[in-house]
Amino acid sequence: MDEKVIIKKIKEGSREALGMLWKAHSTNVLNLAFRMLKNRDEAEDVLMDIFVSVPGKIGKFRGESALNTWLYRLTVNECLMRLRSKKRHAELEEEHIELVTVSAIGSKHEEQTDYDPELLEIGLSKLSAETRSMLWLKDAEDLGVKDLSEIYNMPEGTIKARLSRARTVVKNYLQENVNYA
Amino acid sequence: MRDQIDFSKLERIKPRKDSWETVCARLDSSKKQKFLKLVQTRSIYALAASLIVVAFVAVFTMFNQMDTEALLIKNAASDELVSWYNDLGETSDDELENLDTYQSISYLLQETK
Repeated sequence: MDEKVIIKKIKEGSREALGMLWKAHSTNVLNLAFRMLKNRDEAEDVLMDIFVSVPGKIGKFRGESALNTWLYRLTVNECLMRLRSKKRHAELEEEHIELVTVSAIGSKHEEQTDYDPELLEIGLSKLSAETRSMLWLKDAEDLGVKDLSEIYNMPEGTIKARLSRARTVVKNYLQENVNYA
Repeated sequence: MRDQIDFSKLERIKPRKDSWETVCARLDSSKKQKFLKLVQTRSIYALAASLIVVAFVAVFTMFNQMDTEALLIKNAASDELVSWYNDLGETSDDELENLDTYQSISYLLQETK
């Protein structure tokens, strides 16, 4: 079914259309929430909260962006709200990332692409939840910088800079730990 | 892109089997709650309107009763006077003599009002 038709039907209160949206996007929403919250149960709660709120919020969706972009925005906001309320957001703020300069890694290192998943998880946890989700959406879900700019309500340049810094932090961590291993 | 992080080895979780059912149950329950709230709100309005009507009727009845009582007293007094005036001169003896002083004064006072 076409996305516009799904939106129209959800606005009319169709449970079937909402079910189709669930089938198409629930896994992506769940994984994004999981990447941000690092907790399976909480991510599942966020997923359910998002889909319960969709029929009420879809009236405000103007269709200017794709439906998945809108869902990701809802998810990011919901996760950030939860993190702020729990004061867990202090795990690593952006200023820590600022300390790491892009030149720190440089091209001297040989590109390591075969990362240990556990190391990668730890490397990702060095980022703030928001940046982590940004990196996940860009590199795992293959979203464009334009979409990310809509989701995070930031200029494209800022998104690019944050992505670049985040990659540097993660790769730096992986490189150090692979070398020590 | 060469610069990208390879997330392919990271665990990709799937929603639990009962998650969709939970979403549906929560949506149904919120629908019911909305309906109950609507009914509750309307009931409160109806109750408030009924109370206003009852209060209005009670106040109206009270004022009406007071007016009726005042009218009855007025009527009773005037009937008594009319009958006394009518009876004057009808009998051989002067009834003024039969009236006690207090009654006479009160009748005269009422008459002058």
